[in-house]
Parts: sequence; structure tokens; C-alpha cells
Amino acid sequence: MTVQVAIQDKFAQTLAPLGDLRQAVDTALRRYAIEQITSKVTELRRRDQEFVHKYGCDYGTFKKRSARDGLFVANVEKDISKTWELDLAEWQFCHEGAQDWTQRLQEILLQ
Amino acid sequence: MDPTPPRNFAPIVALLKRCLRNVVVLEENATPQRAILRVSAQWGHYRVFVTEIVSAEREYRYYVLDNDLVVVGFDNAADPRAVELKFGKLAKQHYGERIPHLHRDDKAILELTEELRCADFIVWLEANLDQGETIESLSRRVLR
Repeated sequence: MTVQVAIQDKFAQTLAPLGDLRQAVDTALRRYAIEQITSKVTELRRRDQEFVHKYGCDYGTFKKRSARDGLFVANVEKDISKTWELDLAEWQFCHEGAQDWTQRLQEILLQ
Repeated sequence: MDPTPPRNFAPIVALLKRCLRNVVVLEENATPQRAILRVSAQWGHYRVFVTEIVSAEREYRYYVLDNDLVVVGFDNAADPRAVELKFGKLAKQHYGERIPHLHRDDKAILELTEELRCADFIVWLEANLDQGETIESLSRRVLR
């Protein structure tokens, strides 16, 4: 899919002498996307680690145990958080979201 | 490439702003494959927390707290207690499935529900929770 975006004159005039304008724009967008995705992944992983610290295990372990072990859930509610479901939803977004963006980053880097 | 999930949370935020007080969008965020909305608000003296996640599956959390007490919490997490309530002796085969349910009485009681939308939650609030009511009187009046 191709989307048309207007480029401001000052950039077009600056980039034109440096080579193919379209290639320059593609390169700039690629760099920008990598920078943005890297920033997203870093932030999501930081929040993921906050939950790891709070619950004392990684996301996969918590997700699995909280879905199968009623005693585990009872202890979490008694000792850590009565509203762990709210945390788990956010944690899921952070953990799986970091994976989503990492996958997208790999796709961009391999193109 | 997977399709971008629907992520227009504006109608939900508008609904919450119309019906609740002090609505704060804590997070509205998206990745190529999922989107999340987290909101805090107030209903009388109660604190309300709403979370919606849209991905291949939909997840929701609608919680009402009185200080740290869970007055009511609607969600569809894969809570093993909800699975056991729904499937009894066959629960083991269903662990990990999302089961719509509610918690009440500071999570002492869990009941199965239909899947809720945010609008359903607002209707429940307006019908069942007086904004000045205490959790004790609520339990006596409605929830027991």
C-alpha cells in the first residue's frame, strides 16, 4: 500500500540535490519508525518490569498461575493486590505490546 | 501483517465523561495488534476504574472501590474461581478461558455474568449504587 504525503518545499529543495527524493523520504521514515518503535519497546518493557517487581514473577508465570491456581490468586489478593485483574490487563498490554512492536521492528529491519 | 485492531475508544470516554465525575484517561495506547484504554473516575465517593483491551479477543475490567474495598468488580479475566464455578468438575479442561464474572463484598463473593460493555456497567451503576451509599448498606440492600 502506498500513501501520498506532501513534502514541504524547504525539505524537497534541500533533499533534491542529495539524490532521489523518494529514497530519501523512505530512509527518513524508516529511521523515524525505528526510533519511535525502540522508544515504545523501552517504555513497555520498563512497565513490564515494574509488574515483575510487584508480583515477584514474570508475566508468563503470573498469567499461567493466576488462571489455574485458586490458592495463588487468594494469596495475591491477600498479600499484594485485591485488584490484580486491573494490573494484569495493563501488564498484558505492556508485555505483549512490547512483543508486537519488536516483531514490527524486525519486519522493518529485514525489509 | 496483522490488521490493526479497532481502537476508537472515543465513544467510551464520552460516555464515562457524561455519567461519572473526575474522569481521567490514564492511558490510551496501541500497538500494531492491540489497543488499551484505562480510565479512572468517581461515582459519588467511590473510585471507578475502567480498562478495555481490544486485540484478537476483548478484555474488560469495571471496578468500583470504596477506599481499598472492592464494592463491585466486573471482568472477564481467566479467573480459576470463575472457571470452577462455571464448569465444576470439568474446570481443569477450561482453565485459561475468559469467563465474564463479578466480584463483590470486597471479593468475598464471585458470580458469573453475561459479557458486559461499558454502557452496561454504567446502567448497573445507576440502577444499583447510590452515590452516597456505604458498602455495608449496599450489600444489605442489593447484593445479598
